[in-house]
Amino acid sequence: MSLEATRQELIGLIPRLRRFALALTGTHADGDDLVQDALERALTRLHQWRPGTRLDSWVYRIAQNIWRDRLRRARFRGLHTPIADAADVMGADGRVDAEAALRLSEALSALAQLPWEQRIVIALVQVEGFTYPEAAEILEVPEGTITSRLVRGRAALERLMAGAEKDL
Amino acid sequence: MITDEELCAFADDMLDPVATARVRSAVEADPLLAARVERMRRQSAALHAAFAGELAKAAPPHLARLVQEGRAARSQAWAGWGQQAAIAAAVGLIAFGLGWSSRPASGTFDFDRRGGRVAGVLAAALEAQPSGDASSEGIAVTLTVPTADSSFCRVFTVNRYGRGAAGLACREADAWKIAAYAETPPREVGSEYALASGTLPDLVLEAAELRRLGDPLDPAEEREAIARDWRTTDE
Repeated sequence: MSLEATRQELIGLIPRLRRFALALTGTHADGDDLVQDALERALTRLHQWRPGTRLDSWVYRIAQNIWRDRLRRARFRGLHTPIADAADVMGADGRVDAEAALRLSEALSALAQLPWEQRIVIALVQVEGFTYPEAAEILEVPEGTITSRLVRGRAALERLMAGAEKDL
Repeated sequence: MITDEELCAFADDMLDPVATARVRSAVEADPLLAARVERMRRQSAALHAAFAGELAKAAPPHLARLVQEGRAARSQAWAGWGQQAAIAAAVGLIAFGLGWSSRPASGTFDFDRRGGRVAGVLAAALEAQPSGDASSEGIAVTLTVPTADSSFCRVFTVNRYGRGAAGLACREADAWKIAAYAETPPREVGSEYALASGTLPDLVLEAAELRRLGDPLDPAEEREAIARDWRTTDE
């Protein structure tokens, strides 16, 4: 694949990466920072990506690595993970779809309360729609680890999102 | 007997056909199991729906521009910490892959366990090697941070003899002393995945925290500090 084609593919991944980063960080602003860092890191290491393997898995792996590093630094600097902000769910056009906004902010604040390992797996599988083997490859862990984190994450989310579920 | 894991994978359609059939018959026979599967599927649907609108939202244009222009702006301050650590680890790994396995090490580094004063190749690297440069003797310096008392600390990684380590060394009285040193898993040669997951051991981060280190120097500031032999006062 040419460099130009790879760049185009990276650009095509931006919307999905933003959604993933939003699920991890809880806000669009922090999510976009994370996407920016992930893209920068991916660009400086494109030579390390093996053509023929999935570019998306590789970039997701980079993104979650950066996010984990950030969490360490945040703890290190005494900062706290930002809590999802309801105002943050406003659409790009400035209008707020109240129901969608509520659902998203509820999901974000529930996700924010999960331990990071579970949050990453939930974001990969349930938000991004990766299969278990794909998520295992991205995180470089056995598939059984994915499943056990999902089980725990789902149980926690079930308690946290009880309100959202009733609405469905 | 159906485990939680199997039930979860069944709800996500991730089981192979044999296991799917086995779990399905158990679920059909047990209303409690069926209710749990139903709750899991509703939760998946709720999460998916909550984020469904995100893909349609316009991304800030600078993200695509960044990729298009291939511009990798230096991230500021500690934002570069993990990134630079990973880069340093990557650089160390490449050097290792190229030379270390076939060529015996010519240099050694050492530090006194009590005083922590650094000698040998590590001291040489700390003294003169710019952060982010290709590793020398399996040692890469990751970043330089000023200390509260007008000195400097440097984070370094080591990949030698099939062993990995990371540490924090601080300059005191014209010598580098080890503030923290932790073994890390040796980097697996040739795996690009190992490169992406370079993170600093907690021990090193905590040592930096204790010392209330500030923001890292940028490359120009660091060059100047090296040129001044790490002296910060005018004499």
